Amino acid sequence: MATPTVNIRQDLPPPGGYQPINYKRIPAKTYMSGRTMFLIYAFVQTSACFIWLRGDRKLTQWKVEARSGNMATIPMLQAEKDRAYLKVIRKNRDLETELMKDVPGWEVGTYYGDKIYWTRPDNEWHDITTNEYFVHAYKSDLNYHCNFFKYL
Amino acid sequence: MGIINTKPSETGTLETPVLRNPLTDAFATIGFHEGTECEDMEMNMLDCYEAMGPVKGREYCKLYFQDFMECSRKWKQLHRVGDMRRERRKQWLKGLMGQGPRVPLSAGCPQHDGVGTEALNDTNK
Repeated sequence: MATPTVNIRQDLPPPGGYQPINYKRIPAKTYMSGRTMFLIYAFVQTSACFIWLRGDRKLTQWKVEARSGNMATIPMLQAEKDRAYLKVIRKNRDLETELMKDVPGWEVGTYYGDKIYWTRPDNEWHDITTNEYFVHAYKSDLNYHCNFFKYL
Repeated sequence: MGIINTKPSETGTLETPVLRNPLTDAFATIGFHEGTECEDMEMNMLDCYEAMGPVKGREYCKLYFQDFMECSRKWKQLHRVGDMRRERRKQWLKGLMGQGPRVPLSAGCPQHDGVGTEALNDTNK
């Protein structure tokens, strides 16, 4: 049986042999020494510290300003709130006077002549309940204002 | 008074309990109105009852007791509200508040803002 003649080139090393394997470590390029890096680090940190301190001082100033504004305006706002509250109570009293004038035994500000608090001075203030605040309004108004936080 | 009552003191005031632990003061206010708006009235009532005793206290401390219960439960104020609402509805049904198809039952919802219409309309007051 005749073997066919085929041109076969076997993979062989190049003439002269392979190059030597490069097993030497190639270190990364060094831009600066460790001492320089530490110096730069310290410089950056100190600069950032100064910048941060400057911003913190500014922030403290803003906070003090805002707090001063709050402390200056809160008494006025609270007084206005109390004023509106007292106005509503006065209006309620007038409406009660007008409404209950025909009811026998009724005295304004009392429960058929019974004082709300017996042992307290007459001029001493006591807050009224929410139901009494909305006494001349619809009950839906009362419910709306009591449940308003649920809509938020 | 604590868990165990010793003999009553000469001053007649409440004594410190025999068994004390760090939680004694923390849980001492449970069941009382200390720290609320009614603490003064409760204290008046308790002082009166302590001085008068339970039997005479029913007569002498009646107003203190009623004030304390009013502060706690507010039945008097709530009955006032109910009576006023009932009276208003009665007058509304009778037609005393005006004849017409749409007479409101309420006298208006209170506008409780300092810069609202309520404040602007009543500047002369």
